[in-house]
Amino acid sequence: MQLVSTFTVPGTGQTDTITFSNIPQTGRDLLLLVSSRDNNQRFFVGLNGGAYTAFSFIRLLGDGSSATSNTSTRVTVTSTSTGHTANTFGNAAITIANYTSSTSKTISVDAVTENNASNAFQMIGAGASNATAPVTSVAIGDTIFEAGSTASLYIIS
Amino acid sequence: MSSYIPIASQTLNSSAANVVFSSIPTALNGKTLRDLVLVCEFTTAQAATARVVANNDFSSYPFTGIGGNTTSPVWTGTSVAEGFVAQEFGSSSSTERVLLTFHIMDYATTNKQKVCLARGNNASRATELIKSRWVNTAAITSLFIYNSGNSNFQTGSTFSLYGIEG
Repeated sequence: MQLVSTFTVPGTGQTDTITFSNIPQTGRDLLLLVSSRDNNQRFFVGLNGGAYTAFSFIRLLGDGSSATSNTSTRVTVTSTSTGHTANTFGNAAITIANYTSSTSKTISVDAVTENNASNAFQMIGAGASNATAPVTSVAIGDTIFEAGSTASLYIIS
Repeated sequence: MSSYIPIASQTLNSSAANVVFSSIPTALNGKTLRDLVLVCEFTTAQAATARVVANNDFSSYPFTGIGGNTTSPVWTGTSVAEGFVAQEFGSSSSTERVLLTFHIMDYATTNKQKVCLARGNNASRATELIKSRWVNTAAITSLFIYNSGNSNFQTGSTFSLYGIEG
């Protein structure tokens, strides 16, 4: 497993989109690990600069007392909100399989919210992109990431 | 984080009823392997539910799982299968790309029944988290991957086996 790059939102700033570009086409799968705190308690995933709405996505979401399932056209990843317990961040692992192929891409998401309160979620999700081009860039966004949020992209060969 | 050490991979040039990884090593490049990770990404033409069989033993794999799906919409269940399980809701057409990840722990030990933690993903049907156990303490030396619906994996399907050092 090879680290492509890591991005950390700087201590004095905020970031609405984190993008990994020019991804080497040398591996089989991509693994994106995210530690996040943002103003929407969720972020979306985009491929190759395309719209966040270019997916089929189904997820299971639990809050410790009940579970729900829903579908969307966005790969929606639960996170930790700016209003949650201080100094806590949500965690997510996002896998994009066969990223160099010329077929639609399958995506697996595992994510949790961290919060010392009842508003905390765990989720699993399955996504499929409509586009078929090899993945050369990955973006997460449509939110405002707080300082200290990090994202690391790995290639699995 | 432990690295994924590639053991073998297969990409189908024609449809196939099953995929086999045999002679699975216990060490590679001087590194002892503790766990196996099997990543399967495929399509099938007809209804199919994939299973992974250890050492050609189809006998007993109790499993428990939870998932979100388009019909229930929340499922939790327990049963016994004929192989390690990552999906209960399967797939049914060539337009549904399926991504399954099987994490089999301590595969080379001879004093533990083998536990597998798996994720099943089909964006058209379900996302699932399933735990299954091979009721056998033998070291795993081969994996046989097939569809319980007797449906072939189609051309272009990929299967990658990794070891995790430990």
